[in-house]
This record gives sequence, C-alpha cells and structure tokens, in this order.
Amino acid sequence: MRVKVRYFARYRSLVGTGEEEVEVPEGATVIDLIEKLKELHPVLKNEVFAEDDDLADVNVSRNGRYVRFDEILKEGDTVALFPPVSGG
Amino acid sequence: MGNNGKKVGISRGSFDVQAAIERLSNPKAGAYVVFLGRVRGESRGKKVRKLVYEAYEEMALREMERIREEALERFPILDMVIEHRVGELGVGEDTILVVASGVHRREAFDACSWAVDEVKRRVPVWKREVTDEGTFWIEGKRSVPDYHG
Repeated sequence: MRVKVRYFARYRSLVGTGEEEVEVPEGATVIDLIEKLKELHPVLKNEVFAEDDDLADVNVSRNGRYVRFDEILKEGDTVALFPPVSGG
Repeated sequence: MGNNGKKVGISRGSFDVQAAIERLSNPKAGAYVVFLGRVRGESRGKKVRKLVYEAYEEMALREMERIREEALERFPILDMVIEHRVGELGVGEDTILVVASGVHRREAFDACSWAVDEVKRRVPVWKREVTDEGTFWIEGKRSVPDYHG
C-alpha cells in the first residue's frame, strides 16, 4: 500500500523534498515506515535518528494528529515527520 | 488574512487585536485577557535580524482548535481566540495572539497563559532565527545551525 510522507522544517531541508509517496506492506506500523524512510534517506539515519532509540526528539503525525510509533497505517494515510516545534 | 468570525487562524499579515477581542464580545464577559507575542531583538546572546516561521498549516489549525476546546473544558472561561503568524517577521513584529474572555479575570488569565504554553509545546510551527552569527533552526529548546540558510 502507499502512504504519503511529509517533511517539515529542518527535516524537509535534509531530505530535499517536502512530500513523497512511499510503498509499505499491508499492516505496516509507523515504526516500520520510519525504518523504510531511513533506508530511502540515509541522511535521516545519520542526522535525525542518530541512535537506534533516539526517537524522543522526532514528532510524527498521522492524518494531522500526533501518533504513537506502534500505530498501524492504512492505504492513503498522510504521515508527517517533523522536529520539536518552536512557535510562539 | 481576514478571520471572519473564526476563533483560530494562521495569518500572513499582521493581527487585528481589536477585531479579535470583538469576536469574543459577550455581555457576560467582564474580562478579556490578551497575550501578544512579538519578535525579540536578541536570542541566546545573539542579535536577531528576523525570524522565519513556517507551519504544517492543516495540522496547526486543527491543533489550535483542540487547544481552544480543551481550554474551554479546563477553565470556566467564555471563549478564546488563538492566532499565529507565518512568514518572515522582523524585530518588533507580532507572532502570536491569544485572547481569553471570562466572567472574571482570574480564569481568563489562567486560560490564556495555559493556551500560550500549549501552542508553544505542540502546534506544528517552527522558526528559524536569522542572526548576526548565522541562521539557526529552533527545535524546542535546541538551536541547530541551518547550513542552507
């Protein structure tokens, strides 16, 4: 199945695009998608997920809501990866 | 951007603070607490030239609406407006506006303060600081050099 992935702020600048479509197996979770994105974009592995368990600083949303990493994705979902926010 | 009665908004132009207050106008309200954030000319010891804000707009609007609804549940206030700007903002320009209306001032002060903290914690908006010493992405409390800036 295909999901849309969006990147914001510094992550967009690192990956070099704001949006892409990615193929993942049926039943894939958010963390499965992240593993796939690290393969597709080594810069994410090196600059964002520098250690295996270094997920605390990465925000992930699914269809406009913050999600847990074990949530199961559906065809057509929009998943966004972004750094800690800094509005205000 | 005109907000035409909307209670949350992302805008490219400056705020109309008076219009935001009027959107909450209610004869029951004896208190309107306004928080207006502006670009400060100094950050972490560096002289700031401007801030460049960007947002994940669809989600930012939904998250601002959730904060507004949560504020109405948590505090006995009457209503709330939350607005944030995006784009390039110079020193002294408005960045964020929160207005809380209440029967009395105490709950309006509390709700306004809480909502500003929540916006800063979870609404997907980011700023880059353009300073005399280079450009930096601000990520929560961290500051990361922007090598492309």
